[in-house]
Amino acid sequence: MRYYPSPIVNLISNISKLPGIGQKTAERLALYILRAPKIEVEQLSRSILEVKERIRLCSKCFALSDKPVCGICNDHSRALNMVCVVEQPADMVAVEKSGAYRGRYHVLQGVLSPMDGVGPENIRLRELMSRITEEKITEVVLATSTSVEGEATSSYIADRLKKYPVKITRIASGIPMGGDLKYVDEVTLKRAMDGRYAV
Amino acid sequence: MSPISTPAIMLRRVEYGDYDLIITFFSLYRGKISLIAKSAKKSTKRFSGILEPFSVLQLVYSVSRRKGLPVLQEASLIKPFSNIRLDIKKMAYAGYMAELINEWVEEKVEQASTYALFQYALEALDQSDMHEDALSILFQMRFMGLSGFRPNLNYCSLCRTRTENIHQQQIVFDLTKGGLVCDKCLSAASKQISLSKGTIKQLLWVERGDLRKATRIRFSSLALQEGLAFLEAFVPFHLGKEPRSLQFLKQLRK
Ligand SMILES: [Zn+2]
Ligand SMILES: [Zn+2]
Repeated sequence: MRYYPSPIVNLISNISKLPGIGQKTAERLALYILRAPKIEVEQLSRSILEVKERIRLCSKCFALSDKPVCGICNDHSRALNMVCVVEQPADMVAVEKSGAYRGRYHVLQGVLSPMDGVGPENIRLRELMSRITEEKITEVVLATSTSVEGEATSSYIADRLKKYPVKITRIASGIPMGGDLKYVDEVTLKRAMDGRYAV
Repeated sequence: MSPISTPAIMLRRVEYGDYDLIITFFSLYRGKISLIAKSAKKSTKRFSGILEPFSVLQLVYSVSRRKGLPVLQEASLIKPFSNIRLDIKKMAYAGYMAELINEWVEEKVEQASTYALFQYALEALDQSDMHEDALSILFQMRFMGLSGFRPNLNYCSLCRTRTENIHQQQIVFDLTKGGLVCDKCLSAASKQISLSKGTIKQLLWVERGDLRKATRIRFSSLALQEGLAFLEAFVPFHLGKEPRSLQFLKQLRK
């Protein structure tokens, strides 16, 4: 490291702070940047700054957005009366990729977690409840994860939404596609069995 | 070294890098232990969804001679306690118990009585055998006793008059003295909590009575209210901080 001039040393140490990147990889990336055309490097550094400066949370659904209201909330071809509740922006992206859902979203920005002190006031739950009335939502799809925290969050939200005239659904969980039954844990298998349907 | 096998209950789970988890367990034979579960975040085959808080698992792990955390080799589910995860209030209470154990219990020291108490309490929560507040009182009283911080409810901490001979209906508990103080000895001491004699009696009962018969106790609503308020002040006082799960519980009760 100390054989390099200090600008390179700085670059290496900054790159190595990124998740999953060790000293060796950081060195390789730094040397690549050094050799790359100036315009490419300018684009890279500009896009990094742009992410920090322009990305904010959508004021309606709390997804990542570069405008006050995100593209999905503004898309009037989508079902306006349906909202899918997820924990994090990345979960929303996962549901979008599946192409299985054409309504709106609500990103909680967290999950209830007693041991981390994350309570109902620390996630975007109050906002969800006001959206239900304001946007005349008729169905809420609970798509939090199937971890203990995700399950408990879903059941808590379902409970809190009882007083609203909405249909509340929870995404099904069970055997993964291509899954081998003998590798599936008891909890999942029981859930899959409970959720069986007539064919 | 040959692998170690023990029943254990998960206390805490933190992500480590992109693939691994570091999990703290309260185990029957080795007390509190932290293990690394390799690829647990990505691979669903290896530990298929069972590394979740509050389940009782059978673990197999290996300790390497070099430094570094012991590695979790196998985990199988003994009791999933799946009702806890469907009820945020149950989960909050379970989280509070887990946090107390995680904060208080020494590492790698076998504590079979505390383990039995924790498993008993989770079972009772899961099966709704007992009112959650009553169960929490029972857990906290016994846990503090097992940890060497038994609150003195038997006599006045200053004049040593036995509780049954103190002729008052409400007796002050002084946190700094760790015990009751009768009205005659009472000065302008700080951090005082008032307990009625009936509540004191029930607290003493849940601390000593047979655990197997504990589900039969019926707390009066006054005793529930006083007992919870007392313990939720007494426990953080000794811990030196307010547990995060207790803040969560308080938010939930609002
Ligand atoms: Zn939006
Ligand atoms: Zn006295």
